Amino acid sequence: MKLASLILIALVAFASPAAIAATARGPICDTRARVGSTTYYSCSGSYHGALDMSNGTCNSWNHRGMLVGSRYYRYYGGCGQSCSATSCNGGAGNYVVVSGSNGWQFRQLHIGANGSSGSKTCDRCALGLVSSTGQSYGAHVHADNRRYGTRMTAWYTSVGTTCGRSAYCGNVVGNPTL
Amino acid sequence: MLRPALLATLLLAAAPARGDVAADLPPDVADLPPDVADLDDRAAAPALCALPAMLDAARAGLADGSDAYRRYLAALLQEAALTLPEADLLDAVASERDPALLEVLGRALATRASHAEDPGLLQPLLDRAALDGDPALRAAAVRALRATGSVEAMAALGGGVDYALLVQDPVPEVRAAVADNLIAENRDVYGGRDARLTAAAVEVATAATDGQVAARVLAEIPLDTATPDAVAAVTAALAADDPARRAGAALALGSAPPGDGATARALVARYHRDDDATVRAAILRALARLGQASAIPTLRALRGVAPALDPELDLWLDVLGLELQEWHLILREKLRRAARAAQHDTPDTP
Ligand SMILES: [Zn+2]
Repeated sequence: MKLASLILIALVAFASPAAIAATARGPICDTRARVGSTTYYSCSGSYHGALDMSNGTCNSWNHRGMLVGSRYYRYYGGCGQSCSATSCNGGAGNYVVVSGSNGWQFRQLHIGANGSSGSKTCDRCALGLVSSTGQSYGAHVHADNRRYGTRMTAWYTSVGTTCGRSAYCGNVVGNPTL
Repeated sequence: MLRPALLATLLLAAAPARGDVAADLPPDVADLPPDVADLDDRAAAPALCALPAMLDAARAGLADGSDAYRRYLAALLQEAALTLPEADLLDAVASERDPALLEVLGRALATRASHAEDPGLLQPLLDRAALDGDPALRAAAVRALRATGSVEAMAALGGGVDYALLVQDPVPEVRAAVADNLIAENRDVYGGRDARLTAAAVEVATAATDGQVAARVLAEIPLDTATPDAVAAVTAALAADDPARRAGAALALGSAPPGDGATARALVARYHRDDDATVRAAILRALARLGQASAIPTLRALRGVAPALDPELDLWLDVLGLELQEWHLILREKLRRAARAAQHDTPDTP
């Protein structure tokens, strides 16, 4: 065997990591929680490319990390309590980001800050309250899976999630890439 | 045949986490507004099932089930662990003697600790990892912590048990589990980028007497969030006796912050001095990663230093000349070309 082959064998193990398929459950541990918008707002309006989920309450239920397994949720805060739309953080309100490989991210937006809010590593823990901080009309959880800032839709369409689907924390709503 | 009974038992235990079954059950108390939560009397609710019966059934399934069935058992026990009585789970982790079941139970406990944000729950598992007399059980306990946020949890507990301690284990299986955990945690929990994880990886690589473990940890955990002290520790490992450790250090330095060029200079100096082809190849790759297109003059100056490596060096020069904008694209193109070159090297290829 030539040197090139030996070197290849020695180094191929260290190729950059492939993206991982994660599992996302609903963010609200209330069986009344439902998906309201998916690819289009209210399932008929302009492009949205994300899941909006709510149980019709504001600032009373926990907004839980959706990803199954321990993840580092980086928190971006600074928005005051609000149950109607604001422009805080570019419309995202208080939010968390889980970063994956090669530009992939999973985000949850419009969090109402409380004692649970902050950057942390956990498995489906409370992140704050289901609220309406940022550009949010009616308190809800917005969840998206982006690559280099572009919202992808396959993570929820591939499991058949559409308007009216349960967003309860025991239900799988998608398989985001990270 | 225990399986049908086992499934029924586990499904019952996991019921609160299943949307379709849970519709009739009260929501988890933590998810209710405070006024409602105060009214909920958890102590009065009957336990859904007893852990010992579940464990007997899981032990049998783990011993003779297929891989898929074993993964399924592990997932069910993990879900059940979120609602099982805490003391029962802690006792089971402290006393289990079957390595396969200890790993599954430990993972379930780690899931609960992460869910509850209570690292203190991990203590019995950490004790097994550090102190159990049976190396197979120590390794199982370490594997149970994989990708659970274990580095942060151990730090929060005050560092009595951490990976720098566990990597000193006399048994290779335990040390390998430490490397696997750090690599998986970096990738799966943090997306490959976290300063605390990087610091722990450098600490483990420095503390490890096992050169293979040190090399793997160094090669697979990027240093882009490393402190100058951590980069200095890895740079020092370029002079290690073990070539695997030197190669690992070189690969790691490719991901270090570019800084003032000291890292590139140390790599070039080592390229001149080293006599191991794998170490030299790792240095070329590190220089390519550090400088990308701007590394071309540095690499050209190394041509002829080790003639056997010149084809490898030229391959890097060709790929860097394409001016691809991201390291993973550069690396993929390099590996593709190297694989083609290796194919053409084989005498029986037409
Ligand atoms: Zn939305």
